[in-house]
Amino acid sequence: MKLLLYSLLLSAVASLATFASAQKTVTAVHNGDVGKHTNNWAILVDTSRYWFNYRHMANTLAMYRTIKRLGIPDSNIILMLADDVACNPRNPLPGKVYANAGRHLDLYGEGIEVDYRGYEVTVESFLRLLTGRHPDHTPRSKRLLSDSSSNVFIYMTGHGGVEFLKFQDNEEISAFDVADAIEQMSEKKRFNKLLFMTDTCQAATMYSKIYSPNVISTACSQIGENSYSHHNDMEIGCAVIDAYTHHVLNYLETINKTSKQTLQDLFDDYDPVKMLSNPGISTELSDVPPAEILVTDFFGGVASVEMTVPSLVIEFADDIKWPEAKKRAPRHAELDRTPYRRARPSTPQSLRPTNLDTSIMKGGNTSPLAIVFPILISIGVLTLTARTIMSVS
Amino acid sequence: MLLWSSLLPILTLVKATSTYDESFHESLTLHPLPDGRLSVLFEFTTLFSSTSSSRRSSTPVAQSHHSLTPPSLLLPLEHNRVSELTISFVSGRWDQRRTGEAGPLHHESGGGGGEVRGWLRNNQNGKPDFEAWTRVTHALGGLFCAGLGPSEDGDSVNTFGHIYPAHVSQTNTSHFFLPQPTLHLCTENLTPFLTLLPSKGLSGLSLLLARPDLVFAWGFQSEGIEVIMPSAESPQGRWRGWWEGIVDLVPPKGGDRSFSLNSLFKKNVPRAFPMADSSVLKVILPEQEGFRMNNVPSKTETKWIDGRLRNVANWDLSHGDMAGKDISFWWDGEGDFRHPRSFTPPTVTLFRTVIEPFASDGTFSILIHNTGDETRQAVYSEAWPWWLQAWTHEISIAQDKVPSPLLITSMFYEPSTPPTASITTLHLGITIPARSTLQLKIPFTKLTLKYTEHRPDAERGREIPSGMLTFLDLEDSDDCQVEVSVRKTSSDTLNRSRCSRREHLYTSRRLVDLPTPDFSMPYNVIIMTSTVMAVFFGLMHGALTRRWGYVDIEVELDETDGAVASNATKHTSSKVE
Amino acid sequence: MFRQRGPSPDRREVNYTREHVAIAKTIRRRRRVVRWINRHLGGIRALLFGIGVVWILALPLEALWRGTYVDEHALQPNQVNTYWDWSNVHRADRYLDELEQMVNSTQAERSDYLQRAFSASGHDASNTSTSTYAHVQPPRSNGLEVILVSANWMSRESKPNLRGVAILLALADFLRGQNYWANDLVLVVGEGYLDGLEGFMQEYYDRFNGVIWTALNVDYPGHSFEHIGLFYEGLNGRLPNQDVINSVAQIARWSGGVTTRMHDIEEQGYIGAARHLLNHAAYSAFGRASGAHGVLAKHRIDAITLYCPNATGPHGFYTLGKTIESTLRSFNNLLERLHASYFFYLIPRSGKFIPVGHYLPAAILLGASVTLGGFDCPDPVQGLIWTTPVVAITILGWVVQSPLVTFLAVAAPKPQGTARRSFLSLCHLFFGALIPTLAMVNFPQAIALAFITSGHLAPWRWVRWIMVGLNPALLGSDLRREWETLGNLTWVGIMSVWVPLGIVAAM
Repeated sequence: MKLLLYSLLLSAVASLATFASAQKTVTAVHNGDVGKHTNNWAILVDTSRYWFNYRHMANTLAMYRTIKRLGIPDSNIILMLADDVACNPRNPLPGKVYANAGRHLDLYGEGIEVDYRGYEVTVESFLRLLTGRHPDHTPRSKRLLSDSSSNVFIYMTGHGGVEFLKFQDNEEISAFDVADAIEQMSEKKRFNKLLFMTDTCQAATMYSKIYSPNVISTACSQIGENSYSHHNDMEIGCAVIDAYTHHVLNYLETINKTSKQTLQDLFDDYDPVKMLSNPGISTELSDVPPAEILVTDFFGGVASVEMTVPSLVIEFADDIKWPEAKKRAPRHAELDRTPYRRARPSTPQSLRPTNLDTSIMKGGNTSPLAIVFPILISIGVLTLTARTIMSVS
Repeated sequence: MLLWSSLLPILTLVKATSTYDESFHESLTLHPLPDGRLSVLFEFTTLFSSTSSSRRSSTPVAQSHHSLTPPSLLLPLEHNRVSELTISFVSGRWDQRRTGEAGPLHHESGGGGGEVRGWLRNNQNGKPDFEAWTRVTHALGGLFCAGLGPSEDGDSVNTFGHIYPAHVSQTNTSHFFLPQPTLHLCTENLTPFLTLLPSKGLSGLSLLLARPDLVFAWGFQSEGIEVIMPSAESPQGRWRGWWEGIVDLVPPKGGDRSFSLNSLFKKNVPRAFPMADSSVLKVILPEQEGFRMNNVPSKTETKWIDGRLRNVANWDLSHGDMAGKDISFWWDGEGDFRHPRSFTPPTVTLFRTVIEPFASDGTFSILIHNTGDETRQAVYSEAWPWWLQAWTHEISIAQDKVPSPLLITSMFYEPSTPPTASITTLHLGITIPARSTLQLKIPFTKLTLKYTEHRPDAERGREIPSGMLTFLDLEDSDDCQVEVSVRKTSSDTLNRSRCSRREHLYTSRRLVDLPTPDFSMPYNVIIMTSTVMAVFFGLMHGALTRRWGYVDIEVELDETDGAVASNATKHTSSKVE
Repeated sequence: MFRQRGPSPDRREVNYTREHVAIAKTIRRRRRVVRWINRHLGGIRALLFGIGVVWILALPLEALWRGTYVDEHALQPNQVNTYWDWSNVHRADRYLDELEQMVNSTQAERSDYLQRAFSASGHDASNTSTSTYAHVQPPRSNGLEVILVSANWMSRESKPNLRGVAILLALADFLRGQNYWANDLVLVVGEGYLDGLEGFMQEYYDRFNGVIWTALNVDYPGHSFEHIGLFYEGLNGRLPNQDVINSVAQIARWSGGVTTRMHDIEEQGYIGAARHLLNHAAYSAFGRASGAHGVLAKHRIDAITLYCPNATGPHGFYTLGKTIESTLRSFNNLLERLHASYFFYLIPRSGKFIPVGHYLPAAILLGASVTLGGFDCPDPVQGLIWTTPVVAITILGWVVQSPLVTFLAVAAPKPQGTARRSFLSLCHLFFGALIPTLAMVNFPQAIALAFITSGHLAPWRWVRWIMVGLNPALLGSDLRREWETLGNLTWVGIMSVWVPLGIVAAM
């Protein structure tokens, strides 16, 4: 009997030890993969429809304009708008969306590409976008073609609650779904780093379940807090921006492509009084602290160029037939501008076989429960065995 | 064919100097309407021969040369063996009565919402190539930022081939048609349209169009493209884009309706696009007297437009000498505009509504009003989602309130296959007598949708695509080619309704209320199911474990019947737990 | 779990196990309770009836009320600037001058004038046989959804609704050229008080393709007003979605600057609330509409009437115009039918309402007090057979369209004994079931039905004879006319429920 007791105790201790040591190996494996990003992708999602949710669409569009200004091209931005406010007949300023009552900047403008519109913005399409599991005929503009050196910025706004976000007043996506989708992205190496920003009520609960490495999350309010709109525009008849996004955008207005501001500066700029809620920040999953990540790493399209060889020699073949010049030569430089999509990015990671070795270990944050549980279980086992021993005797 | 040889006059303009046989033509048409509004139509036509030069070069690598043509539009069409394709978006509604026109200026605009239709070559088995159609609609949907693929209401239909006949007759092709009544227009549809044009919205007439804040304030906006791919039988391909709208010329608080290019587009005549072979401003002069302009047109011609002989003033803008000038138009002697009390409707008008609307059924009532002197032959077509089922045996038609079933000459009906999403199509061949009003009644019932099939805004109802009337008897005869000198005095109306290129008339869309379930139902169902299960379990458990036996109960003194209480025990059997 | 089958017990034995004794006690207790209830059934019924009456008398107490709020987020009342200004008021004054010349005109003349005025504002105008209408088509609207605004020629004070029609004409002029409407608007001037609008709605579906979700009716017979009265009862007691009332009240208060009252009564305390509820009951119990908006209810249109009673007060076209414009902008924001707020409510005071759960138990209790009298039915078949003369006389009454056939029942044969008891119990069951059923749809009518039923089926003969004497023919022939013209089902209810009750009471 005593042998049984001691063996149980020993096994409990041993399992704890292996668990603790496993944590260390996880961090060791992921330490080598730090910080080489060559392109940026952004997914901007507005999940609420109807005219009175103008402010959610204005949030998303303001974020869209900002990241376009900082250099991310349309081909790398997936913009999902659940309703159309710019050309809504109720809009007294047709074709224009403003994020403030002073109407300084028209967010819709003259060149915009909305990839998912109206009824296409659903939980299913969002999860398919993140995981890359599309039917064959999905056009390129609707796919996230990021790779292992992409920094991906996900921004979601709408109505939400504790660990869920409402899509179009009809369905919900839970924080667990988001966490699992991000884990799939991580396993398929679809991002180098990911910034997950939400502006909804009780938004911090949305990122609370993420468990993949290299994800930084931030949200506008904690559990139990709502997200408030900032102000109304009495011409348009609705609130035009939310307080959190308004504040973040004010900060981003001070950034340009060459700025060296870091994410820590962005987080330090948070002001709960102005935002009317306590914003949440989660950086535990990221090995690189936010003080070492530039804001333009996520919000801008800045990429570094490496010269691999000092010079290139181009030789022309002899039998190339050059087209004849047209009779009227183009006089304007604009005609040389090609409007077509950017050249193909690298092969999407979804088509490469996944490397499963490192993905089995789910690294990252070990919650205290993960340590307490084995202890509790072993104590329970021990007491049970003790009791049976007692009653038998 | 019903094509009106529209390619012929354009082909004569093509200069055969460029190696790729490409030419670009743009035009802006303005048409003042009788109720103080103006119809504006931009048309951009590019003619091209085959873009793939496999016959030219000797290398086995397929090459595709595009100079004025956009590869992002033409390559998907080529890869999917599309022969012709038309996409049209319409936002708003067209008022036939007040405008006096049966439809918009560009005749290929569809009904309300979005619409994709085209002719695709069959696959190897000679069957319609549905996969190619899916690929094309999704690719172009991505290009135009509009979901053009199959919707919740159904997949494409193949029965509209004779309604939209091919411009270039081909064998071994099949027609696909997909109506999407919920689509609407916004800047994200205008931006790709402009980038497809060679002038990109930066010079020429497209510069006037590249103002979304002005364009989306117009009423009745319509955008579309029509592509005819070159083939062995007809090596000349054509793709045409159009954008149309209606501008209100009268200021909000009243005033006169004079207008100029600057007042419409906030710009004067733009500099010409150098690659354009022709760039024309056309103004369809109103039939009433008094219309003036401050610039003499290059040419004024007389044309049959929609069954009426109209004068059209043309300005040639490709020379560049008009650049920077403003052309203004006004009505002589007219001060503040007074809206007319009555309007002359077009010869044939079409109106659809739902009478007797109940929760689960209704009746479509389609009114066709013919004020002309000729009998017309037409086909009335409808495409419904799967949850709308018509009682086709109860279709009735009445002429001036008198039932005349012989006016329906033929009927083609392809039902949907509920509950899979599919589209019902109905085509009725109709004879429209002269000077008559026909009322066509189609009773229908609405099927029940599953709880999950409702839209997010389920209480709104669902839109039904427009009904369309297609004329079968349009003319291309000599009577319709009238010289200006032959035109008689103004009292002769010269109104030949069949001298028109407008083949289709459209009704507006319709919002149909669907009975909606209680969307808090899942919660209630869970609670009720749990309760029922608990109660049922309790009963079953009790029934299985109950023992039966006999229990003695003493009779009380004051039992009913007033019988004297007896101490005799009454044996009563009862359930014993 | 399987039962053990032993030998069958001997029936003459006395059993003393604890289990048996416990069960015997339970069964005895159960029987005692049922016997007690049966003995005191009359008292219990009276008690339920009393509680029901007390509950109804308690409705004007604030404890049962809740505050109103606008539930549909899309409405966003008072969130938008209004543009109605003094130039529009000036136009309304000019229209008023022209209308004042037309007070004694014929319908054709009026219709012609109105059509010319609407056309001059740039809208399509036409007429039906009983109304004149204009179809405002804003440039960017699809025409799929429509808002209806009506101002009928006759006001509720039986005077011409001149200023109401004038503001409608000014509204038509005001709406032209505005680019931010997603709905079409149809402006209707119906002849008479209700009939014109009813005639219009019957022809609406032939002439228009849009779907109407909300509507407003304007009733402004006097010169100025100091508050606006809101009337919301529809035909057959059908009420609009409460959001319409709440948003109009808020908009009038903050955008218009004028207070609103329900039914144009404003009094405080218990008496005031009771007056509100009685006023509401006076309309709903007879299934009457309290304004022209009521005829729209059966077309699933949520509508109310804005009534501006005459006063020396400060408000006029300007206030009313701003209120109407802001309300229409809120209705314009709707993307779905109103479905969020309550459809069943009682309003005892502006800003307060009584939800269904707080007033319905009164009707349930009254219904239960009748139903409980129906459990003593010794011979159901006989009872059913005795219902035949009741049904026959009822059908006869419907054929001749008169409730006086009740008195024929005096000559009818009368059941006796168990047949009588069975017959009466079936009647109790039937009529008792009707009361709660009706209460959900039309609460005041259900309460009236409850009192009538209790009177007709009362155990005392003198009560029954008084009730028979109070024949529904005393109500006059208005209800019959309303049934034929408007579809007011109260007449049908009287002929199919009250008349049989009278027959039963007379038998």
